[in-house]
Amino acid sequence: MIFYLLLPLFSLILLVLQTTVLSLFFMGKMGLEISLIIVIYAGFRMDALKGGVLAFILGFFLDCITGSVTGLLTFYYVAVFFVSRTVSFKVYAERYLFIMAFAFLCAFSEGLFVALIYQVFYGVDVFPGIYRIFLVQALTLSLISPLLFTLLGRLEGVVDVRESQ
Amino acid sequence: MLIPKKYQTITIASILVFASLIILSVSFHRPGETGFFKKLVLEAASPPIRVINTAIDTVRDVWKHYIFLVGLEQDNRVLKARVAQLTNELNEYRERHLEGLRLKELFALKETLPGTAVAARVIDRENAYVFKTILISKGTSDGLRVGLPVVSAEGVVGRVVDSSWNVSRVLLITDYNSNISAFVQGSRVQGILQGGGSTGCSLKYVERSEEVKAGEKVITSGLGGVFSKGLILGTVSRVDRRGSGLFLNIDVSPSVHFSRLEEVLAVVPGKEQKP
Repeated sequence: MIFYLLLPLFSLILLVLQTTVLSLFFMGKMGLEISLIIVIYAGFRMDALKGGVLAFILGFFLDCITGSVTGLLTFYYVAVFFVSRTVSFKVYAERYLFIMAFAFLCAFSEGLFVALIYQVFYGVDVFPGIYRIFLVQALTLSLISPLLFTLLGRLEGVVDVRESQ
Repeated sequence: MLIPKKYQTITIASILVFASLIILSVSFHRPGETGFFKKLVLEAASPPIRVINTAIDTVRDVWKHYIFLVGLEQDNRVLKARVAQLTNELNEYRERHLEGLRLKELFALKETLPGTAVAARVIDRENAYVFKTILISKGTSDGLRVGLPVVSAEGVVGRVVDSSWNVSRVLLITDYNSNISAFVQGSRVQGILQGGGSTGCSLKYVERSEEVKAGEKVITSGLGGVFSKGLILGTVSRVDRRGSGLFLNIDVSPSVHFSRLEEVLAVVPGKEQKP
């Protein structure tokens, strides 16, 4: 239960740091979407309810903070979580190379998804201007994904020990 | 949970996807409205965002200011060096300009002088109370010899008293040993202009009956053979008729400012002239 109580708070802290501090590393030109890696991690390691709620909350909060169309990233994060979860049942998802490839795919698909939604619903073709940014962002995220997976694994271990105590 | 374990995942997935699609749909249909939960998240997120951004801006400002100061210090150093260099250049040009003006005057005078005028630079000054001499940069190798008159654009400077190969010493008209035959330009009264050291000169042997006024020019008479006639020596500054002597006491201010003298002309007479 404590997980669900603390989840909004941690999600908010994470997203605030992600949109403020982490964007500094790229001079504000692109973001480092660690929240997406967390959702992928949740898809690989967590149960459907915990991970699903986590993905939903993170997506919704990110929608609210970044000012995108509300529900857009909520839907995408939930989708990524369940796709990751399905994939984790089918393949051995512990290898770093796989994690990196999957993270790249998810991150780049996110860019495509956002561009597609804007194209379909608003008639704005954003893709030609920012596809390079999507690509670089996806590559960067995929490169750091093994490190984040390791960190999240350790954090999960600590939380599990506390919960069992 | 009430849902069978087999259908848990699909149920949760359906609920969450459905919920997110509803949110998406609502935001598409009501684009101008901010929902309650969105407001809540924004309200909760804005204080930490503000604090973090303020901290980041402060750090960035401090860093920029530091970098700016480092750049400024370097710029300042470079500009100071440049200012010093340009000031030196300016002084040099100013000096050259003034020298040009002086030489122009000197060469204008040269045209009026009999014989050959040799331009020389003043390289030293002897300015003791009694001895009033200057050292000039020309000597016997340039045709100078003892006794030659030395003038400047302002008037008579003195005469050569020592001459080596490349330098000569000139006895100024203010030296106590200097005696030059002169007359007052307006009244044509003749006398001997004698050096008075730091006080200037005095015109001697002018009879008390003569009319001499302060402000009149004193010029060379041409007698004595050293100085040609009509060169300016100075201006009568004071005429003292008191006392019981035969002659007037006339003070003369030299026309040449010896302390500012930099270039002079030594006049070498032609073959038919004698110094």
